[in-house]
Amino acid sequence: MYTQISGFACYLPPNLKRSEDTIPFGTLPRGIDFKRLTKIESHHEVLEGQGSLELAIEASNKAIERSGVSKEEIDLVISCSVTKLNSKLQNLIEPCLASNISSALGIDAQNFDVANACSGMVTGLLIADRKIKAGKIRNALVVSGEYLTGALYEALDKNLLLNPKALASLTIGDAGGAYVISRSEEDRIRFFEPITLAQYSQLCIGDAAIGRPGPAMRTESRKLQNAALENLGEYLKRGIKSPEEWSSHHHFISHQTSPRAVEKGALVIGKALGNSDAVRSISDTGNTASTSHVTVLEKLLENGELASNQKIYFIAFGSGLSLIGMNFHLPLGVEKW
Amino acid sequence: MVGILAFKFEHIKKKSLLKSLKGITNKLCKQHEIDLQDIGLIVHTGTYRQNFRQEPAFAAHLQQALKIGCEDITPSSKHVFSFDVLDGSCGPHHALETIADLLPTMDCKYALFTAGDYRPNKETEWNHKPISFVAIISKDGPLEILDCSFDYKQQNDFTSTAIMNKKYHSEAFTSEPQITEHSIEDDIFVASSEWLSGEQVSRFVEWAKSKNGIITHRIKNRNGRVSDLRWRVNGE
Repeated sequence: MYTQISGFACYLPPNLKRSEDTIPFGTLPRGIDFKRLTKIESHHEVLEGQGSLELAIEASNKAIERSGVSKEEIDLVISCSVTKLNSKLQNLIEPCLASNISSALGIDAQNFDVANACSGMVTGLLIADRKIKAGKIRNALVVSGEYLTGALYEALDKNLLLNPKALASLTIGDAGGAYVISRSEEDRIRFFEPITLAQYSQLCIGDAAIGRPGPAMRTESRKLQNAALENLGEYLKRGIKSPEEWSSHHHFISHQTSPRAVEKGALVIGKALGNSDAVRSISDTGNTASTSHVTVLEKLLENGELASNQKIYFIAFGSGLSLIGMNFHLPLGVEKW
Repeated sequence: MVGILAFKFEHIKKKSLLKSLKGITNKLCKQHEIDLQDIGLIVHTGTYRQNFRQEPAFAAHLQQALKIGCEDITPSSKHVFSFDVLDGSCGPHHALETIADLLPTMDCKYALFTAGDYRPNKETEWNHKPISFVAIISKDGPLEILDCSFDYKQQNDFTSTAIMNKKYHSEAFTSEPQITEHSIEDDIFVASSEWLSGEQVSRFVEWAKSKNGIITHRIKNRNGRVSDLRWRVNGE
């Protein structure tokens, strides 16, 4: 039994915030310009009444429609959101977010949440892949709604000179993402060794904010980025045996902390395996946590850069520090979506 | 044929969940002469974390505390994969089934399954007495995980939400929870809806270890979600 990605979608709320308006020059200490530092041009923010659930539902509906799979054929829903916040920035504890998503979509299927920070969606895809291959399910919806910008505004209220760990929170944006993963007659998805480098697990912590609703994120950005970059080349080489194998990928999509960080990753990739021209990044969404890979895919689709059967490589990085690679072939007919 | 090889639990009392799980994992591995470095997968389940933490996964913190696979990647380094699986008190079933799906495809001997909760903060009204639970799962453990089924048709509108106001982070409920009392019907162990994740599994496996044949662990949680996990016990 094999698997395939039969549908994917990203939803970006139509509330675009330009970096120069949200984080104007002078916000960062020592005269550093945020846009120049990160190359993030803008991000999206939820509309009134939207939270993690609503973002997830928008993306799910689009992904299910594109997949051609009916809701009755979906046997599993996994929600992978880091944030489980309603529109009032209240944290949904019970039932799990996947239950709310399933109910809202009218899907009667097993559902649960996975928590693995920004690697959550790739972790969810791995779990669904194994369940399909074990013959337990036919199709799964792997979904995430990231209402993150509460943490951005929490950081903006801090003295960033005294709270440098809050700086990374300025890079984030809101988005919903979803994949439909299905049975296949041929092998169209491959997962590489999932790894958690837990010696770095204290470098990015997302907690409830103190003294205000919503989340707060504290990150030792430089240390975390260095840890990711120092391990990326070796990780890729463990799974990809030759530069020829590597160059069979049409697009390489890494977790999007910022375009500047992706550029640094591209240098590591180029040195390890070549073909760094296939590295993709976007500058208008910010870091959308677990949805960042599908956000890039959606942009490539909008730009007409995706075609049936193209081979995509995802590398997920998440607080933990987790690394998971996967590659897959795009669904047939993707260019007509 | 994945199953529980060994398990241990304790009342957390005043310890942190992390300290408690680290302590009982070390003791369990020592008792059963299990090398911690043979663990390649850690899956944690629970509902409540310190200060409603959202990232990283609790399992990653535990992996660091246990010092397993905490070295940078080299061509020959051995690693661990850690994450959390959550669904209120039904979380253990999804987590165990996930381990049963993943472990046979991984290049490691054991998975570590942990369950437990922690009072988020002093401001949260919290009447639980949590239990921390750990189990070593192997590809041939005697408490064999068979299959899971779920029924959400009786789910009600009970929800629990953390309200983060200016000075406190309390928990609010939209309606009265649906209470299910603990009972045992032949080979079906029906859990109390009031038990948190650690108590769910510890009570069940204590009962199950003296049984033979096919048995079922049923969890009906506070909002009426029902989950059945079937086991084959002691090889029969």
